Amino acid sequence: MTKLTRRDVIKAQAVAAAAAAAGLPLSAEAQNLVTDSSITDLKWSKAACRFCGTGCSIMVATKAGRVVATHGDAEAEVNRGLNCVKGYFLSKIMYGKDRLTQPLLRKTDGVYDKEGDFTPVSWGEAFDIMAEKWKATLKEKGPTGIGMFGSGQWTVWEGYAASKLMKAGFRSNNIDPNARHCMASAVGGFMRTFGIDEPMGCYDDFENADAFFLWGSNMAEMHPILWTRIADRKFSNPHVKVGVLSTYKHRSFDLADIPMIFTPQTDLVMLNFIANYIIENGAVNQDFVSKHVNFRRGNQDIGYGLRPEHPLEQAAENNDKAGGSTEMTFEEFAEFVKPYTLQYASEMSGVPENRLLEMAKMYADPDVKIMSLWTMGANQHTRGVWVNNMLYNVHLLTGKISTPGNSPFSLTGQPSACGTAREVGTFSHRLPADLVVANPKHRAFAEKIWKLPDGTIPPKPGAHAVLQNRHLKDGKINCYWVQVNNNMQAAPNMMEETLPGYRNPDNFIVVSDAYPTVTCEAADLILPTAMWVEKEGAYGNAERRTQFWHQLVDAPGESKSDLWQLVEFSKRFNIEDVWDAELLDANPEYKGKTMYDVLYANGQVDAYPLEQTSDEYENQEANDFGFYIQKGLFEEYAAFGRGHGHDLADFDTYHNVRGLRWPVVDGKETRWRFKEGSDPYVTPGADYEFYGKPDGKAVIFALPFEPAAESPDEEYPFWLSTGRVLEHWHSGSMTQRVPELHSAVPDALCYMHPDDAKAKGLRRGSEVRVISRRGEINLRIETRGRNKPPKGLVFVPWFDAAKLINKVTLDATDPISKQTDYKKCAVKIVPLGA
Amino acid sequence: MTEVVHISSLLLRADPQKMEPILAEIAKIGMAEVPIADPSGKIIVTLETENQSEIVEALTQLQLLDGVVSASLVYHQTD
Repeated sequence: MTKLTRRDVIKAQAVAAAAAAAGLPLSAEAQNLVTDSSITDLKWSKAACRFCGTGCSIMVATKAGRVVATHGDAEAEVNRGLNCVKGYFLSKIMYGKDRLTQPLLRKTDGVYDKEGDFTPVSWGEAFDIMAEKWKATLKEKGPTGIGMFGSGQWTVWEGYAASKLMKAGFRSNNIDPNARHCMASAVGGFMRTFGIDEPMGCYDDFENADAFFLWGSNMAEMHPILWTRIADRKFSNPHVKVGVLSTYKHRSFDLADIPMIFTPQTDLVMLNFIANYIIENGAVNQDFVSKHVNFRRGNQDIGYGLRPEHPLEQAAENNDKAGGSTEMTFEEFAEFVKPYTLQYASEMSGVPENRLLEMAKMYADPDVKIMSLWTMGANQHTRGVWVNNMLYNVHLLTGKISTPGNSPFSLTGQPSACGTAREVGTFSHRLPADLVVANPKHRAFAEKIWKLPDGTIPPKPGAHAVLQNRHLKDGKINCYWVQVNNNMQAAPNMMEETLPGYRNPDNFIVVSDAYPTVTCEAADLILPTAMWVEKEGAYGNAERRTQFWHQLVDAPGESKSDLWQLVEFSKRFNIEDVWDAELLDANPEYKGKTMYDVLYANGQVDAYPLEQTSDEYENQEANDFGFYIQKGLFEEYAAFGRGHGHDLADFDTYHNVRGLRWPVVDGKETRWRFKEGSDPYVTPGADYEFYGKPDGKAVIFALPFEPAAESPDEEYPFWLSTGRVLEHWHSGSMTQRVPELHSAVPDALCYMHPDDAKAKGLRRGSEVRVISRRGEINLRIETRGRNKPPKGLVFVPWFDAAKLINKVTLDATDPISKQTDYKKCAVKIVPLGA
Repeated sequence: MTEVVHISSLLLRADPQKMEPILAEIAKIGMAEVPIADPSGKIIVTLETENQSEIVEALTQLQLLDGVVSASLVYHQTD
């Protein structure tokens, strides 16, 4: 036998891991090699991937304090040993050359100056100036003068600590996550239809469905691991069909049996057509509908979430009661959807009748188990909540829900969009476990768990993402803290709404990040931040699975986690600085304490001693604060949901398993909610119970087609849709740190139909200016890329910091969810250099 | 960084009908080896290179081959 090198062994391990993941046999010789892993001297630990909402579990190897290898976790049900190509960059995202390692404050001649240059300062000085600005604003404007913007990339306890700091400490509801841009409409859909957030099904549905329909989602590029599960299902079961609906052709169409390119906004028409088809063909599951469903007529003409003086808002009848609805009967609903005929749906959508019919037949057939999947196409929509409601409509009419393979499934984009943004409730209107600030009982419940006086939490929802930017611009919010996201790049209508707010001389903007993003550049103070496995963390994925990891390496320089920053900052305030005299006089026992004492050293968060942390792993925050802060925060948070349909297991369990899907009752996770036998919360004998609603019934909503906020016209003749490409994810602030990834797609392109290009005398590579009523950018034309728009539509990805497409997009939002529609506005294309 | 070698393995999920042309295309990628190709459409590819940008190019190329439905990374190590 020839002498084996270290690299032969590594390679053999790589092959063995792949073979195991594929379920393919390996030769005995190769297997022996793998067991000899001592040669490579690595310490392997589990972690959740930090790139998307799928929630893949990754094995991470460290050596000499650095992450040097990763592989898909074979023990994880989500990804079964696989990881998408983005996973290649997991081991590199922490090691970019421009990593921030110390706080930076804008200064001139040694003192803070909004127009000054970024100058290194200590954490002490950073918190000094922050506290000074926060206190001054609180004094002048009260709690609504401060704001915070986070994300679904916060770990569970970071989001929880932030929400508590803002809502209970500063008594301000001006906290929102960038998840608002991503799936607020999905939340609105769940709450309206079911009264409880997040999918009823789970990823096990992939191996049980007979048909898959993608409503605007490009899973092949955006959720590749889940796409692999669909591909496996299809290739091993020839009867399985895949339908893909989109406004342009993309990679997912390769697997489509029923490809459907539709005119933007007409998803509303097609979904009502399917409902109509189900009813007219006697396919309604009468037993299910009569026992488990109510019908309601939603308010119409609800506006577009623009500023109140905008003509579209002036004209809208119900923009002040967008979420309202009235009772109706099944017969009335049937009458309502009657005009949505096959012919009308085909005319409006541009999808041929035979394809629409084939799809409708599958939705109607009781023997076809259907999974509907959607993400941004349905959510970033001025009628996003409606689309979500209407997707549930077609599943509820047929009773195809909550059983294996029958699954309307809302996918998410961020690693903890569900676990943190939604479950913890970091939205401006929410509290943990689906509670809301506007409900006095919910506030009282939260105040009891938090050991706070009655009336601490303000009842009025705070400013949501887009409104925060408007308030910054208008000088209503003066102190603003952004963590774990790149909002300058992500927010809509950046030049008119976002940047002016950050640079408003009255405002002090703090950005916590690991890298110098465009948002950092617009800030006054930058805080260097520990990321991913540089801290102990927890994420919750799209199928309700909560996953933990340990701190595996140390953060560089003076970087600190978001959690450390939040909690440390709370020490800078006496409770008298943040609560008014009225509240304190009624509750004098709180006097003389710091905000830190009241929120975090409250006998609960600090209940678990350092000895309970792992001997094997570092825990920077626990060591600094002197107690197991992650455990304390998690256990206090879990008290909100236990016994209320959101049960989480105890903290220590999660370090030992590959995640569990809530509700976790008697140590058992729940795969299908609302169905007797699989969900312990369903009353015995009920069969199904949608217990988020007081009467246990889900709601089918009658909602019409209404046009987009802006459609092409003579002056601006093209639809503009934005989205992502495979090589990048989100705004690219992490992935673009990896030089080779950046060079793989060096510039954002404007994808255009070849006929449209030809008509303008353009060729592939020609430079054009894309102009809307709000702004313009220069881009190069791509006519042969893998994104193929139909005539009349152009597609521009939004990852590239040098090509900010959000200068062009419209800040129209769904009036119910306040989520921005990045998918539809009108533009013109002007050739350059002609 | 020039001494660092990147070793990774991928699992391609391919249309079983198009295995032959896909394998021929993979053979054109210099650093790629195919230790296992299963008729069910599962292909294991290893990549070994010192040049990081080549790896990324190969990853993109592999994902976009006609007939490849998905490409998953399984293992990656820098040594």
